[in-house]
Amino acid sequence: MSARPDLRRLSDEELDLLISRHIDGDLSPDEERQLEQLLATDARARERQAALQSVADALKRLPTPEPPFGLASRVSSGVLEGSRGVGSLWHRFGIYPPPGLVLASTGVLALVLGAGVYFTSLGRPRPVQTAQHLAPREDGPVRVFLAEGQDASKDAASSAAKEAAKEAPPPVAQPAPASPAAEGEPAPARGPLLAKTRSSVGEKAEAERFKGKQQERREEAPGKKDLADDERLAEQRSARSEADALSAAPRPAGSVAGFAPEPPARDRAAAQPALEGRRDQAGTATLSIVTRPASWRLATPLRASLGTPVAARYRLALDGEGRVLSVTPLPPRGPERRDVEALLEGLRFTRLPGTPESRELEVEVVSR
Amino acid sequence: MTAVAGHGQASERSEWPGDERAVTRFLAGDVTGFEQIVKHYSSTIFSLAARLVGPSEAEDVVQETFLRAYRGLERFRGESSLKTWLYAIALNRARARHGTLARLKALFASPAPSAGGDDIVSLIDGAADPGATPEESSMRRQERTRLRAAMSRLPEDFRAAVVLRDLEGLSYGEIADTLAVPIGTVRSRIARGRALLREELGGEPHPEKEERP
Repeated sequence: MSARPDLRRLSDEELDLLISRHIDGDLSPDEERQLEQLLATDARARERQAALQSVADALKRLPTPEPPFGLASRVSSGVLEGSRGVGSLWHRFGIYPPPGLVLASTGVLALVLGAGVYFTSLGRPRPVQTAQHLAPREDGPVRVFLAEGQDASKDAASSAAKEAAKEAPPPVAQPAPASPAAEGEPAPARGPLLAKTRSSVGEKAEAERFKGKQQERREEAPGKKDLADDERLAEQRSARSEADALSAAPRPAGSVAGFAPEPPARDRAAAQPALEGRRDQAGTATLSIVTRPASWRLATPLRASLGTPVAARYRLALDGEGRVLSVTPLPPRGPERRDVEALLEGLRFTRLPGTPESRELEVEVVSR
Repeated sequence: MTAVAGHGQASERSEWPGDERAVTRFLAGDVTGFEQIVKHYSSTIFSLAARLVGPSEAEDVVQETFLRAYRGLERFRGESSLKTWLYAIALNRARARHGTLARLKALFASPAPSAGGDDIVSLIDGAADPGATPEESSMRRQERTRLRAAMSRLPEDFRAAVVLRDLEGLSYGEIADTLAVPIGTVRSRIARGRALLREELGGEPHPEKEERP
């Protein structure tokens, strides 16, 4: 269109092209001038121009579709996921399944898998949790049990407890009269127990504190019914704690309430706050220590109250009497857990008779 | 998603740094560069996609467009603008999604706007006219309905050119980049598209059917 056109000889199509470019401001000054001359003299050209202009104006008046709220965020996350996920596989083949279909398929698959897992796990002992990362949680008093080892567990447990009782000084807590709670909790079906206690000393201390607080409150506002109820509750707690203390294996004198026996001196300061810090929180956490090989058994009673959940593996070096000499974290290594290492360093293990002699074992410590 | 460390950093990331810096940032391994691109262009691409395939499928087209862009951004040479590059992907995605022009036509050629529907019919016809009298609103709705019908009968190439020019406001050069055709072809397609619409809307004679005296 750089050459000057003879507008009088233009076809309608060429004229429409010129008018269209005029509407869009695409004409050169020369072309503009010639078109204006033509429009001034040719009524039909003016009609075509007016009609084309109205079409362009009508199109421009069409509303702009508004994007849905959060579109950019959804697209960003979808693209970043899709670029790594299964979706990218589809897309590589030019297949774009509707998102609803993908979601529904995933849901159905999850449902089927979940149902399968549920029905196959019915009537079976629950497996030990082996998650590598657990969300932080407020933990309360901790039940401890050994989750590995299948044979003669009760015998092994009782012999381990007896052995520990011989070595350990008498417990601090005095026996309380038997109560229904003193029957102790039945061993969980999930695995044989070598050591299983509630953190009875911790609960007892908690109950004592609770009782003390109630006493103070009663002195401030005597005669209130709820206080009487609270006191009764506190007494029940105390009785239960004492009963639990009875059912637990003896604890060496001077050991901290968090666990027994006492951790080495170098770790005591680091371990104690974490072990005791959450004791007022409600709920009960479970700590399991799985030994490999399974011929090893925990010989010392264990009470622990870890502040945060843990799932980690360690290699333990033992001395000739099964006491832990050193603790080495095994990969994958999570954040350093001095409280767990201190807990392990305070333990002692025994081998089942007739099993190969060894001074090393691996343990997996999991709480939830 | 990368966590935002502080207010200053957040505002820095929310600002549009321009095509080149955003692309450079992404190619350097910073995902926020891509997030900025999505944030800046997703509305525009949605608008185009909604006009091509209807709002109900537009978001999927947007998703596919940016997924393609994510994978192909390292091959982006900057010879065209990022906007037209994304438009080209979106057009291809819209075509691929529907397979044939017939499906696109079917979308536009719905006989009557569906009440509460979310296709382009309701998008065009149901738009509010703030400040307009009921009569004016009614007239505009009729105009949109006729325009929609006319658009549905346009050949795809013409329609794409007209949409990019009159609805998306792209320049001839940008349309040429987007459609990967010479600029003369763009001029011609726009002019012929408008002429066909004029014929459909106003009963004007088609330029090829009736020659000027």
